[in-house]
Amino acid sequence: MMENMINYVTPDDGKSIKRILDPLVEEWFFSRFKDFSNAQKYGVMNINNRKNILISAPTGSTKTLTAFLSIINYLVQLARKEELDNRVYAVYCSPLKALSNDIYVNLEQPLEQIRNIANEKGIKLQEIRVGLRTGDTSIKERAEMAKNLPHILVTTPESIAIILNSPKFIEKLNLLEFIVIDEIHSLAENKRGVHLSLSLERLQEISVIPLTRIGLSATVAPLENIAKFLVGTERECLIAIVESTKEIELDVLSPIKNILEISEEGLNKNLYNLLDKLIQKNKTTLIFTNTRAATERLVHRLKEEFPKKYRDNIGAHHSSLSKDHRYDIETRLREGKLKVVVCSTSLELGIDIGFIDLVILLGSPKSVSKAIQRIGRAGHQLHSTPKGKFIVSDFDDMVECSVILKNSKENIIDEVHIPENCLDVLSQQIFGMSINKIYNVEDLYKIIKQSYCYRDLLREDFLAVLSYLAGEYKVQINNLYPKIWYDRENNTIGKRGKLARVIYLTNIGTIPDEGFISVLDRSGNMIGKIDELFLEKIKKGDIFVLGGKSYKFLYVRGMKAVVTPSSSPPTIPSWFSEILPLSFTTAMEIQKFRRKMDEKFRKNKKEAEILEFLKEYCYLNDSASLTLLDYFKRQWKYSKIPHEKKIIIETYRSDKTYIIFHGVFGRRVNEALSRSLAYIIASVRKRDVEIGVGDNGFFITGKELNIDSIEKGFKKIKKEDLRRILEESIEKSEIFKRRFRHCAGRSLMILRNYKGDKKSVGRQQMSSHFLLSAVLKISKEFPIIKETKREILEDYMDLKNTEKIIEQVNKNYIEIKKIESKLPSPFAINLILQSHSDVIRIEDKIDFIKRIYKELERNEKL
Amino acid sequence: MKNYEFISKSIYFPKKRNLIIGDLHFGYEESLNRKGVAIPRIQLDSTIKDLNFIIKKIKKLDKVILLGDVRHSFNKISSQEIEGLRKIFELFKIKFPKIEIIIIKGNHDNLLRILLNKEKLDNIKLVDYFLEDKILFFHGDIKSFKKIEIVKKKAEILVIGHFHPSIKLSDGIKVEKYKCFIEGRLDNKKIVIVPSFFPLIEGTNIFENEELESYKIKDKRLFVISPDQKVLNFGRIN
Repeated sequence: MMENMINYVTPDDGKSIKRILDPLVEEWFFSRFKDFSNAQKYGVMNINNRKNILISAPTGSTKTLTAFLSIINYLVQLARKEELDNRVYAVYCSPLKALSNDIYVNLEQPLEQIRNIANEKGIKLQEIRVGLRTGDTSIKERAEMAKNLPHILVTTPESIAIILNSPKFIEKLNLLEFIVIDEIHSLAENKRGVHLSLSLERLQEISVIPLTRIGLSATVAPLENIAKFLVGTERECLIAIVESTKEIELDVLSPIKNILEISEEGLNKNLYNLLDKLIQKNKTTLIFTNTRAATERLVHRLKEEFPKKYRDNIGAHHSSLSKDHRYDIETRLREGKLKVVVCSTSLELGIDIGFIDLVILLGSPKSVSKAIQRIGRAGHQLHSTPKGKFIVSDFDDMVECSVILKNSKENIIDEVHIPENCLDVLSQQIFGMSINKIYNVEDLYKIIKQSYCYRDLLREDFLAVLSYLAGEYKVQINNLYPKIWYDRENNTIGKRGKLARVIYLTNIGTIPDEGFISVLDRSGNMIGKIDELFLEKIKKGDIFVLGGKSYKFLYVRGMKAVVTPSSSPPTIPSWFSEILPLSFTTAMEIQKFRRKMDEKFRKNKKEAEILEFLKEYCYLNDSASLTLLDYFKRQWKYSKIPHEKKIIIETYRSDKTYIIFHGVFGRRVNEALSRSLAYIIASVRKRDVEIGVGDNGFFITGKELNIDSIEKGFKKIKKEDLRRILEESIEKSEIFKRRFRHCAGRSLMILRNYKGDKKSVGRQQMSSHFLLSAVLKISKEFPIIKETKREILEDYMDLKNTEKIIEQVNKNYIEIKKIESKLPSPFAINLILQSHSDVIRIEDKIDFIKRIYKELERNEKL
Repeated sequence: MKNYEFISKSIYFPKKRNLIIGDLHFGYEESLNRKGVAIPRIQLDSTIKDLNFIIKKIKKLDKVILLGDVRHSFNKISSQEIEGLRKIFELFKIKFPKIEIIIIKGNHDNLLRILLNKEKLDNIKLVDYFLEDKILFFHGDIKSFKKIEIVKKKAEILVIGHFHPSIKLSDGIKVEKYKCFIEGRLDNKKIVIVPSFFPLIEGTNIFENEELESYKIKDKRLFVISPDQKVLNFGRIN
């Protein structure tokens, strides 16, 4: 039944739109635009007819105005008849706070201009109010807003949740008609979206009118799921796919011909020269670097290398910079005052940044949709031809970028993962709902299950959350907790405690606080950031990996860690990575590409023929094709080429044994594969096992490892057992402690703000550490423990696709080949260097201290 | 010859039949609750379980000396603290009816006198330090060091708490933290630092404790407590 409720629409010719427009709106529209855009032809009529619609369109295609045009038209019609009431008609929700300019262009300016036209014609028009409400809105502004309500409320997911618990606002939302969710794809893939999906159901519960839901999305897949996410269960939704009219000129570039034959510094020099050449050839350039540290470094080095060219005309933009700084950069970029802006990923979304002729992606964007979105920032005017260049730093990066380029051209888009049944977010929302009124438990369950993210919510999980909130787990004793009362006799729940509303308002949200420490070298150059909590684990002299390179930890000064580069192997596993994992869809395309290359070598094809294939298959230029050919040739000669039908297990011994699994499944799947396997091995050996995980594979390392028993162990993992094995394997891991803190925060077990007291990340972690050991003693089935496991297995890792891979191994669709090598094969080098690692703990604290003690005794005797 | 032995996280002096217990920090959970953390109450149960383990190993006991920081909160007396104190005193009285209980004041222990009086626990001695047989027991914070100046001469051994000593052990792969005792020399006297009795949190790494380092304790030896309650002699610290 669900499937029939999603329909794809065809565009209108524009005539019927003209027919429905109020003369004032029509006159305004054609004074500004020649004709309706593609997006408008798809969207305006359907919104006018109150249909739920998801509009998928590339950036810069007038999506926002499409959503607003029908709404503005409707409000103008009312205003003309003096029928506009003091209430909210439409809510526009965006993930970004810094929207003021976009809203001005797409909403306030049109309304102003329509008003001017009306004035000229002597037509009386009621004032149509637009109100902006985000976390930055002052108390005074909010009070004003509650009196003179905005007809169109512009806000963020977090502020919607606050409004839902403001009694004055709720009354004025009971006739809400439209809700617009902008950049819905970026919300759907994380807990902010899950939270929003419940807020939408709460909004619907308040309004007596069935809401018209409008979603605006970049190019993602599958759109059906995003549509369902938008409308929830048992409601209809239309999907409009607005094709891009932009021709994007794409290219993969390498700073040098042969990446291997040059030093690090030489590579950098070439890179800066190449960047300078490209920047100078274009008017305005936007560079994406993936990380904050790389952004800072690049701006610094460009200024240093070319002091005359780059001074005030270059800017850095990333999320750790102040709001004012970012706003300044955005404004100057829009005004055309900047030659080049370097950002991490922060300028990927929404806000209008003016005309950009070149977008450079430094390093793989890790997915096709991110690539399309970033490159889509170029042009931003329908007639200009944007350029997008991938600049790669190593061979694997080159393979990745080449396949991403191919997929962008051929529209092979990554699948979005939408988290489901998140019990921490559910706790927070139920707590919020209970503050407003008394709910019958059955009604509450029904409302929640209308959200797409909770459509399959198990009754037992729902009841467990109620039990937690009602304090039935002995978790809460004194007067602050429980958070709700739960009357089992009458099957109702309601608010408990005078402070409930304040606690809710000051602690909602899903984005956890994070504390980062800058890492510098001795001359004060920024190298990167590490988690505050990692600093606790690290001792003077320890060697760890950051951004693919090894560093020796020297000391902490202020809030900065000082390190020096090191060539020794790491002594402490680093369990952080700022870079996104490679998407599974793209990973599988790389696997396929590897197979095609393997076939060419197997069939002894001539180099010229392979080069032709590369140029055609990946749309590559001559030089990039040569580099790729060289890389695969090295692997072929030295070892074997792993691919979608063949996992290669490579053994390599240095001071430790490395057992390397070659499989481009992306980090989310490799994380799950490696942890489950390591757990099995560790259980047999009764010793901890160290793992390293990357996008292109993983390794297991330690002393006295036996490749045959590891292969057997790998084949022994069954699809059905995977979840259980993984749950056991993560219980003692760092990631579990960390994610538990996040989940405990979201479920309001740890209040970040309480009675004027704001907890630092360190304090939250202290509390969380204590809380976790206490909760584990009470019950392993505690809903927030369950949620922590779910989040790690399904969101952080990718259980579903890991099961698919395991099944293919079980059925021998994927064969396994073992090889030994004296030196790591070409494909293995980056895997060892760039993996981030963790320890699979099996040995308990007692056995560990005994072993250390014995070693100590032995040493004393020597 | 040692005139004491380590039993789990406590020290027992067989000659004088004394048992020494480190910082208890009763009321920790309640103080977290007040800051908005929904922590379950397991501190008391764990403390009693650990005490029972120790009591079982002792045949004769005349005195229990608590080395201070019995309470966690600096202000406001909580019901959790009262319950905690009552329970552990009962525990000792059942097996050793004539037992004497001495509490040494810690830096967290203001209001403790009032609490003891109010709860009619006034047979419990509350002192700044306790000297017996050339062994001086005190809390270990700066103020307590000043208070012992007058009696210091008479002591050969100093026994303190306060620092919550613990140690991080690593095999190059992972790091684990354990509670530990420190023995050493300070101003020509022997000093013993007792770990906190507080369950669940191990304490402060002795190598990252600036306050502790400022005392320049010499010839430090380490005794690490395994989670199975065994105390392992890790020898001299380099």
